[in-house]
Amino acid sequence: MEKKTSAQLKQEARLALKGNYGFCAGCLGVMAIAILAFSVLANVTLAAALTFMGLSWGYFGGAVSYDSASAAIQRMGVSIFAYALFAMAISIVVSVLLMGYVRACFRICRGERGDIKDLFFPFGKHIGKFIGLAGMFQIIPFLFGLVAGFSQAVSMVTGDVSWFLMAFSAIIWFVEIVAIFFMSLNYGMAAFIFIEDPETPFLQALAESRRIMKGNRLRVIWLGLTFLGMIFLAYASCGIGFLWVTPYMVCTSIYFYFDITNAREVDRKEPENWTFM
Amino acid sequence: MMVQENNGMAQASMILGIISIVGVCCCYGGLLFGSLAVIFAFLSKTEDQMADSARIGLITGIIGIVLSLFAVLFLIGAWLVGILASLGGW
Repeated sequence: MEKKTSAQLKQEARLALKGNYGFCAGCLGVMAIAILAFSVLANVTLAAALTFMGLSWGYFGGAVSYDSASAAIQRMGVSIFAYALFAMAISIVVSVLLMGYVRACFRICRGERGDIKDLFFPFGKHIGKFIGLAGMFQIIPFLFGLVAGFSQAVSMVTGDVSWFLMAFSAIIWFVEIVAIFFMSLNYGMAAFIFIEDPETPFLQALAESRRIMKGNRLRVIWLGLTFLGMIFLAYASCGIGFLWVTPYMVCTSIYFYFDITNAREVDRKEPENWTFM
Repeated sequence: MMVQENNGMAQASMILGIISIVGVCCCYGGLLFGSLAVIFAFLSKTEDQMADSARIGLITGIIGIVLSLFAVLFLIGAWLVGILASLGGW
């Protein structure tokens, strides 16, 4: 079976989204409110907890107020660890919510009617799998963030801002990006597999994702690169453009998944009144 | 060939494209509306050919973006000249 080009996949996504942009934008709005509420709650809880424990709730704050350098590093270490842990928790919740958004778009791509309840689908019976998958992608930034944070803390407390530490942080950052990139290339389709069939065992979904991505890695990189112009335009519009660009990118990725899994073509009904949204 | 279609997104693109040219006088207005016009023009393309209104939106949007970039460059230039004049007594 001949593989579809990125232009064909995008054309299919535009057709599927015809008349559904309003729903997708609404879903993004609900997601944004949920993420904001969770982030505020998590940050306030963390700040209160650290203050209660007598620790600084600023990331590097309070370093100068301690007598010895080792005490300062120790206290800052707790703060850094707590912040990194909370940042990871927030990222996991955002990723899980995003999988719900993908589920809503999945229905649209199959010609079904999207439902706002789909946003919270990952928080249902199979929440463990979705959190596990999101955590798998977030553990690398967490670990590398910790190493980079501690090296910066040591340099701040000792007053020794050496080139070695700066170079070390830069290398850590680069390695993190490369690691996430290769993980996404291999296991990026696992989320779609779970969304399509939540009963799939966790490790089987990962293995399946790796298998279907074989021979398609360059295609997915190219597909990502073709969105750079749209992303740039969306940023230029103060982010407003993302309301339309995000569902477009998600639906194109879903059609890419359909293409590499040789999914059957779906009968898509044309919406009766297709409006601006 | 004229492509006639009852395409709301293409019409929105055209309107935003025209607004972007007018909005150039507000500097960022041209960039904001122009970007949206170009996005809508591309997203409205569900057939092989782009609708006429989308094509107009695309062109006017690009013009709006380019003009606002020139306006920003002009403002930066004027600002730099002002600083140099105050420093060097031009």
